[in-house]
Amino acid sequence: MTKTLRVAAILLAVLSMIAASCSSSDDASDTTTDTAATTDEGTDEGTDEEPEETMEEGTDEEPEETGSEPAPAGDGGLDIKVGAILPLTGGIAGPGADARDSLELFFNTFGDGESITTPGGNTISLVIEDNASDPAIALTAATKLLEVDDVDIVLPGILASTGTAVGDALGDRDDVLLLSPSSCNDDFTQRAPLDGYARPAGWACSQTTHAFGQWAFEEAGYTAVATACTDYSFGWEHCGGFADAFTNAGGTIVDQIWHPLGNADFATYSTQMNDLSDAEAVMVLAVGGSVNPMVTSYADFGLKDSKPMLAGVTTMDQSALRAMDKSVALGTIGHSHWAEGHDDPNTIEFVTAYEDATDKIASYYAAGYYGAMQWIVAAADAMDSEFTPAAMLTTMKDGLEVDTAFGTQTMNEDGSMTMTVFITEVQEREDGKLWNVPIFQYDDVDQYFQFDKDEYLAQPTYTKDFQGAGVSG
Amino acid sequence: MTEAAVEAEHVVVDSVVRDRIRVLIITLAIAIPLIAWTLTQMSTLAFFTQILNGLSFGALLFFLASGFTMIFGLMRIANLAHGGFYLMGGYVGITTTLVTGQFWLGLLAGGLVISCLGLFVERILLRRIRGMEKPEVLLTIGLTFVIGDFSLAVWGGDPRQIEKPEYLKGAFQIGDSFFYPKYRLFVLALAILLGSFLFYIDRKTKIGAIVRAGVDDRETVAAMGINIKAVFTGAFIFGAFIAGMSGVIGAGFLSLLPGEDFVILLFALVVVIIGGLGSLEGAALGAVVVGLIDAFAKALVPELSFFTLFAPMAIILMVRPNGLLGRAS
Amino acid sequence: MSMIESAGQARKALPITARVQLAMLAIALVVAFIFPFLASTFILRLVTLALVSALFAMSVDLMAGYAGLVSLGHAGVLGSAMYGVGYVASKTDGGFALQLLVGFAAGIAASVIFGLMAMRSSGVYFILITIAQGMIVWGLATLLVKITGAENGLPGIRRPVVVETEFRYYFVALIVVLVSSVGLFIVVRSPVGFALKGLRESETRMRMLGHNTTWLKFQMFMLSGFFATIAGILLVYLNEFVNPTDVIIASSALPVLMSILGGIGTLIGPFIGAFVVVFLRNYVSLEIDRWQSIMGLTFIFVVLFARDGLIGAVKKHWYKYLDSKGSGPAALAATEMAAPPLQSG
Repeated sequence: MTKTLRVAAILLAVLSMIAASCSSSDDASDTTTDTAATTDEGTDEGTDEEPEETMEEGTDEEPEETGSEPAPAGDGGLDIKVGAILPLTGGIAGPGADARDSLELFFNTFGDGESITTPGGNTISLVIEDNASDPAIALTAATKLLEVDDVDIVLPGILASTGTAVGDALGDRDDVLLLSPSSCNDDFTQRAPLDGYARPAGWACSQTTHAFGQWAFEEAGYTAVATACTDYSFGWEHCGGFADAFTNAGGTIVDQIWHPLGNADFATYSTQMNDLSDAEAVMVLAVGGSVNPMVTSYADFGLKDSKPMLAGVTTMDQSALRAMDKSVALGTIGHSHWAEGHDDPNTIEFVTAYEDATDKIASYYAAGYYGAMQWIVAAADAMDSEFTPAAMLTTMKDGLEVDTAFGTQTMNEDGSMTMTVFITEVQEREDGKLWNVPIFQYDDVDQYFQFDKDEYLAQPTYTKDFQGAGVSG
Repeated sequence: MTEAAVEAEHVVVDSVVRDRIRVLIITLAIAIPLIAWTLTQMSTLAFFTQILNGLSFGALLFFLASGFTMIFGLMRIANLAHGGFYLMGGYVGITTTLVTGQFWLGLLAGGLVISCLGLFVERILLRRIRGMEKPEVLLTIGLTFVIGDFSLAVWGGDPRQIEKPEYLKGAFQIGDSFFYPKYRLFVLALAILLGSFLFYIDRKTKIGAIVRAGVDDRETVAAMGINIKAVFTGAFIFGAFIAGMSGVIGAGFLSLLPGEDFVILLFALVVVIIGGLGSLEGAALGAVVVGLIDAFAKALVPELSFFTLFAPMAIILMVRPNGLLGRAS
Repeated sequence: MSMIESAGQARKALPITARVQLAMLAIALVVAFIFPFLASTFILRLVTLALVSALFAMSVDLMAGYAGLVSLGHAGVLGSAMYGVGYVASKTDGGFALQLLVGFAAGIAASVIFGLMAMRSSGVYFILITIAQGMIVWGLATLLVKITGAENGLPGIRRPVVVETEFRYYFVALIVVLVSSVGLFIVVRSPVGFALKGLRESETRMRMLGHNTTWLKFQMFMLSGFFATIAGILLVYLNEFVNPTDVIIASSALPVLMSILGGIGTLIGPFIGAFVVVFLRNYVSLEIDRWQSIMGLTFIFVVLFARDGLIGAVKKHWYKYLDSKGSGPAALAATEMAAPPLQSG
């Protein structure tokens, strides 16, 4: 008897847990089921979910004006499938959710949530898969997207590792186009370019810091700066861009501190930075769960006043800023190709729509995936031939100017972007939320910026051992 | 007690004392040259700051490890859901603090909610597989997945921290050059408080006596008419309470995010392994050792900071398979 | 203990049970060889992954199920083999033979080191020291940039052209896994296999009987590591990629979970468990956001309601069925077979 009761109790508890997790995802409207059942999926039964929750709240009040080019050159009629492999669970589920939300926003705003018809009469549909922040699962997902969903374009995820894995697996296939708005490995568009790969609305890891380094010396007047970055390829390239540009302009890098990926406690590093009496400021990069401990520790150790922080792209991005203490973050100078407080109409439109739909201020991940869709729409409408991945890539690179959430962007021959880089300050909005507002900007920044392309490519990729010719040891 | 028994007890106590002294001597023999070398590498001020860093991180680890080790000591359950308890407790604390504006309420809520969860887990789930090592491991890992996913669904994937009260924000300053975060000092003080409380309970109260007896000989305690099941449940709830609270405390200077449950679990494991499973002193010693190693290794050999955590653990386990203060099983 | 006696008592039931088992094995083999002609590349890839995971899970079961020593760091062995292959393929111009050789050497070297480190421990301490081992490999994978590519991993690993397609690679994996399984079945029926079972029942007793249990555990590590190495080599050519995620603790926990889910100490259990877990983790995760909850709940339910894993549950009902038909073993034998082998020791 009691046994039956217990079993019943367990069942009840389990059910309530499931119910709780389901209901909570409903009202946040951030976890609609992944399989946006695509147009011709009828054959493959069993994978379809219960019908999508319609998201009516305010997202589709913007009518037809797409963020894309108004003058379609093509004849329409293309049917393009996009597959996104996003980390919806695991360590970077936060950025993954941002990306998913913005993709869903895009498809809800301009279509029925699953597919859209572009101004040029082309149809674009979307499938999202979870990669659990794990490259091996990303590979399974890529196979599924190609073999089952038959997608034409793959957005290969946020982490460099999943991007590399998927890029490596799909790089030699000519039936799919890889577009990566968030993962930024320099060499994919520099020394070891991938075929069929581009970064619409994306960046190279050292691209933004080239501008930042120049600014730190020329505009902010710093002459001696230390860096503290994450000890892996993104950190080396991001920091390297800064160090190279800063020393190239005339400054000195007094010390470089490297903290391990996933480091939890930053007291040790703050103590070390405190000890660097020569440094006028510290350029700081942290990623994921390390950002807030790093920034909190920086402030708690009294460093914020003695050595101003120069924040890397992910350090003051909304994905971290949302949960950051006001007193800790306010006034911090950072930089990015994304500034949610920029008063460009395209940016305002996106930020407003995104906030209406998700109650979050858009992070650069959100903007990047939205921007990538704007690029795809624009390129589809500008194409005048049959769709092939190569033809779309050519169209993108062929002088196409796209108004994205970031502002107007163009793509270079190598698949990298020419774009605006903002120097930003964390400010308080009227409603008390924190956001990054531009205080200075460099327009038309490409991935070589102030450097000569050939000389730049002759030097090695930035690693811990090479941070620019002007940086010793 | 017969004379022989007293004699035997003396021998046991003597051997324990001798064993502890040996550990102490070896530890000092390794530590003193290391400290001397360290002092040549950094300023004295930085050295002392790093010691504080190590101790305050160790304080958090002690919070974590004491709950884990107590449950293990008494019930022989390696509760791998401990990291999940930490994560969820922290999230509950953050939400409570956000809603009420009271940090202390958050701290309490984190502990209480997780102790309720602990009650459910112990009474309904674990009791059915009592004494079976592998099912317990599987069940608690499965539980971690569920708790982690539940937390992801409710609190999202963005890293979260707790809003600290004004008086715990910023740095505590002595002179011009010495800054130390108030919050870390607070965590340190809290851990010392908890440690003293636990030692007092353990050594001076009847509950402590029952628990200690339960660790040694469950059957006899049960035979003496003490409800050992209730003791187990109580211990598990209390362990869960500390785990939940440590999540809230940790959220003051670390981040809560998906996956942190496993990171924290690993830290807890390393601490209790180095100290010796099931021993409160071991948890304290392990927490201090791990905290200090972590702080200094990052400063001195940053590339190896990862190994410096797991290598000592592996070495200690190879030479002393039951941890520094662990008793032979 | 009871296992051996009950096996004797159940012998009466063996003819029919064995016949059913043989029939099922035959069906499974036929299906395994026919279905690739019907399935999509995606499903084929998943099944290949399940086969490889099954071999890895069985290698862990050799330790966890037979010797009662649970390793939560065995992905360190698997990963070493993967990195061995990956390094040669990605950073040098070494051919396929060299890749295999280095992969094999790396896996075996890891087994030797792991074995030497852990052969003195048992019980929970064994679990903990193996966690440390796995973490050390993970640390090396993230730190030694020039060898492992750190977080970005090693791209550019390619299968030999002959077995390039998923279809052909499936058969490679199938045959290797089948041969290895036969090897594992021989191992567990060998004197070493029986000694390992003795280790699970009581290490002290084994020592008193004159066995060198330390040496026995080392042998166990080598045998298990050998099969884990094979699994690693198969896996790295399946993914054509390796990165530190392959050696995180979750990757070590999965084969243990597969074993317990399927039925620990049976070899066939881990095999089935692997298919269930791979399906949950790699297929359900694509379709459902809350796949982690589903996986976690599956484990909880198996622990609570099918303590001997799926195999145990099937056995229990099979014997019940035989009993009800009157042709089964005595009720005694049935209940003894149902008694969890986990509890012993």
